[in-house]
Amino acid sequence: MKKYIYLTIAIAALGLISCEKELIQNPSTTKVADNFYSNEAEMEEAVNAVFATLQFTGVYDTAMPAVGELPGEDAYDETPANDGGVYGMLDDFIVIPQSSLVANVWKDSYQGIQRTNIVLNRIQEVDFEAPETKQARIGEMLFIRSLLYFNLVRTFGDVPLVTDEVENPQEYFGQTRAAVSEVYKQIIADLTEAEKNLPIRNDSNKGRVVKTAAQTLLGKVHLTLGDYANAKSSLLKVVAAKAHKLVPVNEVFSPDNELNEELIFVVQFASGTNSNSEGSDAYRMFNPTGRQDGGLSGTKGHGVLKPDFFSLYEDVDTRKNVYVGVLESGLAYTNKIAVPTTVVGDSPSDWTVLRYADVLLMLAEIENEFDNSTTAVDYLNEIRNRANLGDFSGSTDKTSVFAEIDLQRRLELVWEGHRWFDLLRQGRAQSVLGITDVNKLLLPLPASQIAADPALVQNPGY
Amino acid sequence: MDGLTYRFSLGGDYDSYVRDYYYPIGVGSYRTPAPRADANGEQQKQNKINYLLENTLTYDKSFGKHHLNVLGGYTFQKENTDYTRVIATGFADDNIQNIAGASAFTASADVGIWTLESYLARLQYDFDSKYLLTAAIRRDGSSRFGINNRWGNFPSIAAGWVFSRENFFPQNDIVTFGKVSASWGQTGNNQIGTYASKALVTDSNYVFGGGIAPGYITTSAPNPDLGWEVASSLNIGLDLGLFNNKLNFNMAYYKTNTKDLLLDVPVPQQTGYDNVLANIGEMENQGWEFQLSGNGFYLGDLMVGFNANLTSYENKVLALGPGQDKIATGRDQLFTTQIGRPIAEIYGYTLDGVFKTQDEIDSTPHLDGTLTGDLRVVDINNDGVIDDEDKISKGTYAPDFTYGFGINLDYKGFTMSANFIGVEGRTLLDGDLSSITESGEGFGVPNTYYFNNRYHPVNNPDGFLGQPNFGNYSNSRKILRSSVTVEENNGDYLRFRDLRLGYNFQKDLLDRIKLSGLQVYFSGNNLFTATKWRGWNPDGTSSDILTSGYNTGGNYPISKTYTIGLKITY
Repeated sequence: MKKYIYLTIAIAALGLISCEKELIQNPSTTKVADNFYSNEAEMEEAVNAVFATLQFTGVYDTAMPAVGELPGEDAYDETPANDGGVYGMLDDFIVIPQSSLVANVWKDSYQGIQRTNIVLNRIQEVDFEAPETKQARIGEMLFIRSLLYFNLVRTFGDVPLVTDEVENPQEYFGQTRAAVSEVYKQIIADLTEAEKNLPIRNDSNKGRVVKTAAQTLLGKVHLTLGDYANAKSSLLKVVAAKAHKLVPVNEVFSPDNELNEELIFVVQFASGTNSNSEGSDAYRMFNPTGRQDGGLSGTKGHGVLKPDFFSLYEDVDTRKNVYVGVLESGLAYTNKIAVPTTVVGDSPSDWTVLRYADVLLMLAEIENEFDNSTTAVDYLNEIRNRANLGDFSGSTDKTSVFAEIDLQRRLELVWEGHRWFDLLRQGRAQSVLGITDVNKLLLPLPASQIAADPALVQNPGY
Repeated sequence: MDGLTYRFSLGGDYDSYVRDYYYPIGVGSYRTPAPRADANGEQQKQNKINYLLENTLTYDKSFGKHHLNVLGGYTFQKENTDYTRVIATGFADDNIQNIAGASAFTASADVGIWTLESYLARLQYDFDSKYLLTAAIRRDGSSRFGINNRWGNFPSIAAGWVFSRENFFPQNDIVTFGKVSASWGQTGNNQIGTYASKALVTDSNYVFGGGIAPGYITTSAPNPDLGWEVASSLNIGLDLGLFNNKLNFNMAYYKTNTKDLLLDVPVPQQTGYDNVLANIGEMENQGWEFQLSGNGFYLGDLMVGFNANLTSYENKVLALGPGQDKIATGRDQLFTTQIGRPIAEIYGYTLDGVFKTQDEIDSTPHLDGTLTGDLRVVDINNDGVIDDEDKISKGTYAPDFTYGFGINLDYKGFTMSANFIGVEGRTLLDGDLSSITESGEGFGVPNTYYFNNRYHPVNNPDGFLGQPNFGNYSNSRKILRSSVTVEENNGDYLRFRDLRLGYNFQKDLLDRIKLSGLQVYFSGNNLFTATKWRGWNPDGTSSDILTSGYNTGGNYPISKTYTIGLKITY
């Protein structure tokens, strides 16, 4: 009898506990993709996370600004060997595939691209209260994806093109780099579609992506490809929209006047928010080591401006001492990135990606290419007059006008990450900067990526 | 029923910690002098409860010379980890040095639960303690794995034959015990993160107009097929007892084939991911084990005992992921795993002193940015350029063999025992040596090895390590610094693991003081390690098997201990 009792207990114990469902454990403090992306609120969170990638180190926190500015002739690295030498290498055209900055640009840009792919893949299934909101979000994703690809293609040349949500990363072993032309085809298609979906700028959406942002970026893309006609028509739409205008010089980058009408697309940063995690590190990285404004020390000197450059500003130029400042030592610096009020690596300044002054200067350049120097000078004069320089009075032959446009681009857009890409698209990088090795016009792919998948072939010369 | 036993057991572990952290205002930080604007406080609390429930039913019976033991069982294990963390800021002063003194807080919580469910069956049989047979199977289900591959079945079988008990075995004084045995079995590994198979959605916030915009997005790739890593092991052994078992000898051959390795493999980053944990590939380990021990040999009043052992290792990767024949990862991608080779081979350039003149640089293949005083690299493949192709394998963390030996002596109450262990054929890469103490760059204090061997045209013209240079950040400097510390078999060592000297007081004395035993002794552990390794600990390694042998400051040096004792037995 006793044995039956034991057996019964044993079976009962087994039956009570043996429960397959105990093996199904879902995290209770972390969200999982299986049950996320199911409604508008969750979709909006995903969209916010896409915007968040623009703040990453490898994108507009510090790396893309550095890539766009340091190789140019106006900025240089005061302490080139510090921080792994990654900024010094850019300045001196000796970037190595092991550079952590290069690795960050690659990784963070593709992380952003994957996030846009996730949203684009899933948003169709989700109902939004207002259909136009959904449409705007689609437009935003396409805009951000093309912006990231535009950065990648200009930095690395051919790059792998991924436009679907990645379900199984292992399937991507063996993916080769898509040709530059194919990448641009995707960028143009995305921007054209984005333009249709995006709303016109107003007070409530001015911090997001607006229609004119897609038009401006599309214009810049066409200009980069040398397609002046399409560049012009796209940029003219921005002018015609009347959503933007030049604001006084001292208001453009003022932290008290963020998201002003001149700014077409910015990556937003804020100081003292979320344990100081929403600020930009650009102030600390790029200011001269000797700058101690606001009692803050610890600036790193990776992107100071040359005294020669500072002297290009005429004394009457209102941009002098507003866009750029100078230390007693003669070292100049960009003043477009505001001094943090919290810790040195937490600047509140938004990073300006596209602004109206750039649109006008691009139009001036295009008109000059079309030999319409009068129209070109008209655009140019808008920039000059705002800076209190008066109308352009020099010779109006194509070369002279180009030289003035070039100068104004440097003075107006300094330290906004344009210079290197301007010289590249104009085919002047080698002659202006004295680069003898044509291979240095592209950065190397990260060594870790070449090692991860031999199907990715390194750029020549690295 | 006779011989039938039911056993129910419930066991548990409770583990809890509280960590309080305070960084006072009155202490400065990097480039920020004291007093700082604010202090940092933090409190972490974790509770972990693990319980294991076992139901087993055993039937144990002898029929004449037959002995049978059958076991069936079910076990269930569950672990619940509950963690909270509060980060506090906004301290007015250093008066209250914990989170209570703060005015702003951010809190986070993390709960993790895993379960393991197993069914077991085992049959043991022996006849006259001469023929031994064990067969078992277990079925394990782990919550950590993907929905498609939670369960694994792991059979095993073992047989032994004590041939010295056979009638035909000649009785002799030399071989007094003899056994051959063979076994084959499978085991499963589920040592991965609690939710490693799931696509987790984590936070990534933005700011719109200065206000925080909470963002969430998928940050780890899903893998519903993630399942058990299975190791199949074959063992064949021979045990001999000689001279009335005063001398014992064992030898064994083992071969383990591990399939569906749980590897955190770097994936192309255009996917948006860096690494994916997946069941990838297959590898094989094999080797021999020898052991010899003796005890109770007398030379007059001196009793002598000794032991010695040797184990050899050979590892080979048989397969990797589909279409993949090589994984290069870790520091400077120097850890290389490829088919047909051992896992995690450490690659490095072969260095040959420094360049002393510009002419030497100009006439020799060199890396970009090489200056005089920089390292000279051997152009292994003789193609006139220094590139990745010139890196060669310097070995692996897994050694060729390990060994140990020891002796114990007893002479009229004086006892002595000493044991040594050693490792041969181990290669390591040290992160700290290469980036700080031996790099010759800024931000680090050089060690004496670097100082004594650095090149200096006047003070140390024969130095073979790069000249200190705080300003050079070229290819040459950055790429070569890891190779300085990677040298074939640089992790070999022989360690004096323990020594014990004692004296046992004689019985006549003990009787007088009414004790049954009295011993004084001295013992020491890890008294010395003979090695050319310049890092902290030649046993240090990373926990990821793809970067085995990566040694960093996190790997603490091994401690040396001395003990003087008195042992009293009543």
